[in-house]
Amino acid sequence: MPDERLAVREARPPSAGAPLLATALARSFELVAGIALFALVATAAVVVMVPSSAASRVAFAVELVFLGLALVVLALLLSRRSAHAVSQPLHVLDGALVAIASGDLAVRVHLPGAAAEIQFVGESVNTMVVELARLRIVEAERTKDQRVRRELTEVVHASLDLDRVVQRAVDVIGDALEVDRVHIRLRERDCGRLAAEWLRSAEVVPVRSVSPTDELFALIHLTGITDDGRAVVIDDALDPERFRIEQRDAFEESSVRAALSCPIVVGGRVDGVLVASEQRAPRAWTGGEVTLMEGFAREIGRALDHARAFELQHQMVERLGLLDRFKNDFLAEVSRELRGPLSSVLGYIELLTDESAESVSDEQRRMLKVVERSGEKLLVLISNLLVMSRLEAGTFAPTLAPVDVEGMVRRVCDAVAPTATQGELLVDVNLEPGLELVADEAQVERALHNLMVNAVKFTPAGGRIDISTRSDHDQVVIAVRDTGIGVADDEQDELFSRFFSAKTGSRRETLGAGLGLYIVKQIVDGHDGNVGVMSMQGRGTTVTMRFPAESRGSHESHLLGRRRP
Amino acid sequence: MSLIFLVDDDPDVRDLVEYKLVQSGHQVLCATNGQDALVLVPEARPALLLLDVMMPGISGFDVLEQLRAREATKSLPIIMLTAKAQDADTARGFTLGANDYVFKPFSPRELMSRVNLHLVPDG
Repeated sequence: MPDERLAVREARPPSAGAPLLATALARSFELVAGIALFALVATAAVVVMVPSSAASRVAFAVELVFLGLALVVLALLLSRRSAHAVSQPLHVLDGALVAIASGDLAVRVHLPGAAAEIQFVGESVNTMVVELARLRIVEAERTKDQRVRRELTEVVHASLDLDRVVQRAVDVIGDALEVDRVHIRLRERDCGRLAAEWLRSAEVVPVRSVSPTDELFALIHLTGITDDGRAVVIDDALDPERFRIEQRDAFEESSVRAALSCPIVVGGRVDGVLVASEQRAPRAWTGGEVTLMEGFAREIGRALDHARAFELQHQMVERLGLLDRFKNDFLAEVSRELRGPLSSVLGYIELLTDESAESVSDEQRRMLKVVERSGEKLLVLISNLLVMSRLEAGTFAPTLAPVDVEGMVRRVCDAVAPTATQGELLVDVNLEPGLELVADEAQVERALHNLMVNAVKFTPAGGRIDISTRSDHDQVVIAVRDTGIGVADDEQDELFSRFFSAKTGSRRETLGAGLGLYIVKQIVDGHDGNVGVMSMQGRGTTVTMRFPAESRGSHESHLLGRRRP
Repeated sequence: MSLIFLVDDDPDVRDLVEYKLVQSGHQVLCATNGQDALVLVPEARPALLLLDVMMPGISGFDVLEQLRAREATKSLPIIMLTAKAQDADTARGFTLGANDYVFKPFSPRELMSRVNLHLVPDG
């Protein structure tokens, strides 16, 4: 393709040329010959006119001087001419080099009359300029290539929305290749969905109007695209030597005269095609253009891969979220549903033990107590399940109000007293009087209740449980110490995790759903407090909860934020 | 002796509550769902209504809302029986005009003390 950047302007001197040395010799020869001629003429004059008188001698001398002067002028003229013959081409060369240096690569040196050596230098300069101009074009193309690639890479990585990516891609490619049409088809089930199209102008026939829903890439079959990632280059779709009549017809129907078709390969399978096409005229695609298109197709393949992976991940996350919600709803529902039957169980036991006291034997009463205790244990488990489902759903925000710590501890002690008595445990309460706490009373009570239930559960008969409360600077400290079986050192860190189940045999036997301490920790965390455990196996356990006396009220965001980012 | 109306879909809970109420000397009428309650309660004109929240069809909250909208039952003392121990639910019930809440599983003793509390005006 002719490039106007290669248009030539000639720099030529006015004179004709001969070898530099020969020119210099000729000029010197002319000078010497002039002087010789002068000498010859002078001698001849002296011989012919032989002046004897002084006057004639003077006249002769004057003539001789004039003649000498004339010869000097002649010599000067001659030398100027020879100097001009050398300096003029050099001047032209100088001018051309200055122009080249300033970036004008259209300059050409032309020195028809100059010496052969100077002409040789001139030709070398011309060769250099041509090479320079070629390099500049290559460089410009490479820069454009890089820019286009960069743009495309940006497009590909800017978004995971596939339709946007492919549309931006055809825009960039259309601008870069200056073709009539660029389009992308992507595999969708067994069809090639037209995913994006770019048209140079309104006169170009859009692909969607020609074949809106083609069979599985008619083009693949038509042009023989394979999964090797290589472009199929069609300079002229109507070339009878290359394409059969039905192929040519198909091209004509699709308004394709020249095309570059690249497979978009994802995971070793052709999952789409990228096609740049000319509608009317054939086009000799350059190697650079082919490479560029293949690069584009690779990038788009990568984008497709990313987008699909992202989509899959997105679906997975959604499904997991849905499952999580199902699970929470299920937990809430189950814990509610279980309360109904428990109402009857515990209610009737109360009626039996309260009102039929006379007709119930001691043995039966003992049995009824077991049923009642079991029912109450079930109730604790169910409550914990409900609390957990609310924690998981992020709807367990504490409602803050002043809490009478002493009253709360007494209530919890009353609640566990029957079980403690049954287990022959001594419960000792050591309270700082008048202690107050700003917290969610029901939640803190639940936490303390869970700790007490654990202490009772894991302390063998004859043991003791101490509950103490005190203020420590701006914190309220509530501790439950037991002389129970304790927790192994390596298990203490996991103690507050969900569904913790101790390896210790005796502990496992009595453990419930493993939610009690998890809920304690969630409640204390929700109040910006902290909970710690000190335990020695076989000696006992102390669990200490610390609450800020004046709560800072960040609980809601803490709990909600944990689950619902 | 007062007439107390009980709405609950669980027959065992109905039996338990009815037994306790009758034992305490009250008269008891029952409905097993919200639809029946909306028809029967205004006719029966009880002194107090024990109303379960979670029932198939019309929920206890809906029954509560509709009864409060009627002149005959506008100021009828209503105690909700619920397994929903969530604050938001309690708040909703009170907003709709419930007089009290008893959470399942409840102690019959505790239920009776609540009933007696609301049967005595200003008590």
